[in-house]
Amino acid sequence: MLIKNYNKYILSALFAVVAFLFWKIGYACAFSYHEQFQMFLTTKNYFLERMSLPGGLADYVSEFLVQFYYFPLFGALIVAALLLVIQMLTWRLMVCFSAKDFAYVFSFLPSIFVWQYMGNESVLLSFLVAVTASLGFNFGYVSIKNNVFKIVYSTAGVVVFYYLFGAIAFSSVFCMVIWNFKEKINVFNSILAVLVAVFTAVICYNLTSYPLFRFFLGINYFRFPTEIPMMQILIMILIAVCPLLGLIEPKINKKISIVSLAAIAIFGAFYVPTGFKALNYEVIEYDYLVRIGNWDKIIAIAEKQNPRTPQSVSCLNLALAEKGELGNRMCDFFQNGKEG
Amino acid sequence: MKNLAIIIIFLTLVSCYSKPENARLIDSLPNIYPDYIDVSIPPNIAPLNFLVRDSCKSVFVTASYNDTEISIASHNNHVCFDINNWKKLINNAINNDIEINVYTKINNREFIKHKSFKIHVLRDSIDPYLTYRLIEPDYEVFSRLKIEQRCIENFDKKDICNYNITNNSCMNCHTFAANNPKKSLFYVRGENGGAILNRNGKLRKLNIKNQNMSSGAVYGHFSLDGRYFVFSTNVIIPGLHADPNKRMEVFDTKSDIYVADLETNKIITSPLLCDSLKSETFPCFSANGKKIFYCSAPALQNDVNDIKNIHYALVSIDFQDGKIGIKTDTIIKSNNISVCLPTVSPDGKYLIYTEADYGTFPIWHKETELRMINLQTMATDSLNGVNSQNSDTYHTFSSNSKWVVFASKRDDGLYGKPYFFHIDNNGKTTKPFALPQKYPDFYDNCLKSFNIPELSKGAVPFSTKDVEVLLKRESVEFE
Repeated sequence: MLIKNYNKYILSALFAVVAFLFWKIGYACAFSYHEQFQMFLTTKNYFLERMSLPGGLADYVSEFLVQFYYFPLFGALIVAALLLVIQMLTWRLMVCFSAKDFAYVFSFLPSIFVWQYMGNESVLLSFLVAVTASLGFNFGYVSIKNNVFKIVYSTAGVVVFYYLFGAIAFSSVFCMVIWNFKEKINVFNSILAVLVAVFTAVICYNLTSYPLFRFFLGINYFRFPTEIPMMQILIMILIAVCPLLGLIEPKINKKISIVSLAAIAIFGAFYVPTGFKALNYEVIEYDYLVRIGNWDKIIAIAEKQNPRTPQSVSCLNLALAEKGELGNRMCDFFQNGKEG
Repeated sequence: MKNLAIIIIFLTLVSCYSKPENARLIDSLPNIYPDYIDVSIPPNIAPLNFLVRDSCKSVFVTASYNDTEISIASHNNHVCFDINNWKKLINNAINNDIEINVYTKINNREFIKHKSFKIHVLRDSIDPYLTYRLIEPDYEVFSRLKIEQRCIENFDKKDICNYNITNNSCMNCHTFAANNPKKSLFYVRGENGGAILNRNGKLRKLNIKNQNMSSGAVYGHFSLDGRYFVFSTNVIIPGLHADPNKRMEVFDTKSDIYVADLETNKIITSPLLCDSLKSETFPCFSANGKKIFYCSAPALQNDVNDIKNIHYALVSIDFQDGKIGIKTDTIIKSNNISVCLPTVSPDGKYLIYTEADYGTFPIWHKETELRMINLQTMATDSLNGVNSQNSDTYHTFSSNSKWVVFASKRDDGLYGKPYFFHIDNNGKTTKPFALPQKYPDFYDNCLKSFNIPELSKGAVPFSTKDVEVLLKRESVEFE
């Protein structure tokens, strides 16, 4: 069945609403988890500390936004808004790559992958902010017609962008290379952009005390300093190559097919939840409920399914104690043994 | 019109920076943090920037000695001295007092002039670098540790080692031989870890643990010449109190002492320091390197609740020409107190130790206090003017033996901060003052404790990059 006319904006809005509801109803606890790990300060020292590292502006902006995670409503709004912006910027880029309307559904793919990746509770909002900025930066590059400005943008611009938003700049450089190839722009531009980005990263490495790989894969995109998940790398590649989806020209028909829309929606519906590990979120949810003092809900959750981790059991025991039921009911639930 | 605007702007600026006229005098000292009222400072310390704790809209401060006066006008409660002006003032006031006047404007109407206070500038300078570990006051796990070195003559700091290059492993026990930055050691734990020995900028990674030791080195100290390193191995068990007034307890189930010869890569042992019926810990060399001071207690035998009966004594044993003596001397032993962390001044005159009610981890004991023994008269000074209501512990001397830095939780009972005090020729001590920071609200917003403060005469001649490279190499094994 074909959709003859459809409003792209309705689809985008629907996507944003679904994302908002997903986070607000399903994973409000995640916002509390993130918010409690930081103390954002409006002091000059705090700002300068953030700006002293590549990606500092992404970190600062994300930490500013994470303050509002204190209210899950705002947290869900922020995440949904950023995912929407990513989708819309991807579409703008695809249009520059001559995408037709039928390809609109593919513009949701980067957002879906980022959404799934954010299910990992150690992914910091800084990455989402950086991805958004990178797409905007890419759009800026493809919009420039003058070759001299393009060179300045892909050299000085990359240096500044790298300093402000971090290693996501490499994704932008990759996108620039793809654009230059498509537009048959002098290969020198591409080589120069790559060299400038690499050189900038190496200089930053020599001026700080972080391992070299962090300057190519991000310093503060992920909570733990010792690893960078493969998914982050894939997303960095994806946002660079996704505009190429605009080049797809199916032979059968060129109008939006409800089939492709349904396929993307079903894919998203199954794929996104795979990023949210049940055991991790059990602990996070219990912790969140303790934080807000919702003892009844803790006990209700435990009655449906026994807590499976020592931390969850501790939260449950606290809830039982708060309700004056610890002595009577603690043995109704799983306990951790004599060591607690 | 343009001229009028210029005049208005000029007058506004001038009015911002001129001393308040007709300020109302009050007879109380200003409520400042850190507390720098009537402290004694070395002539090479960075500016003592502070906050005025009263909720004031603006502050005006003058610091003066004789004809030299500097002033600060602030539109909030931060008082930050210009470092060049500060240095000039201090240099003029050596062996004298600087007078500080604080004017605060609580509402928009009038300034209040508080009672002035003094800062005494002493002639004795302090070693210019302070090394410490930054760590949360944690209970179960740690994260994002680093060892940082700060120049206390200004606000420059650099990392010696941080979590980014150690795979988020623990690192600790940094120490210097005779405050010499060219001879130092610190430990990186975990995989690829080891004792990182620095000799004139050349780094070696040592594995000084052998099969007889229960753990790697924990507490250690260099001999004066840097050839020997005496250290304890400790099996450390943390535990949480049920008593809400006590946060945490840490005790050793086993500890012994060894000496590493860093030139021959050999471990020197003695059955007197590895007694299975005793726990020996916190070793340090005497000033001349011919004795080892340490703490000893009967080993924890049965129930962990016996920890309250564990009282460490201060003991010494001879050490000469690479050989440990054959008998021990008990200096302090009591059933009421536990001695921890003894350190001898470089001139050999004093020994300072930490005293707690029991046990071996004084930092989490609120009652912990510093005590000072005059090694010539063996008299003990309770250091009442130095100690506080909260934990005061982990101390080291400056190379001239005149200054002591220690970690104190006096402010909030939770976060340790470096405090300094002076010892004069008669053993008299001064009121401690906190390490000054560039931004006076630093301590309010810092969520890390300053751990193991150690003074040195200069910056370490290596960087984190050197440590990062070294960690990938194999360790030098000891026999």
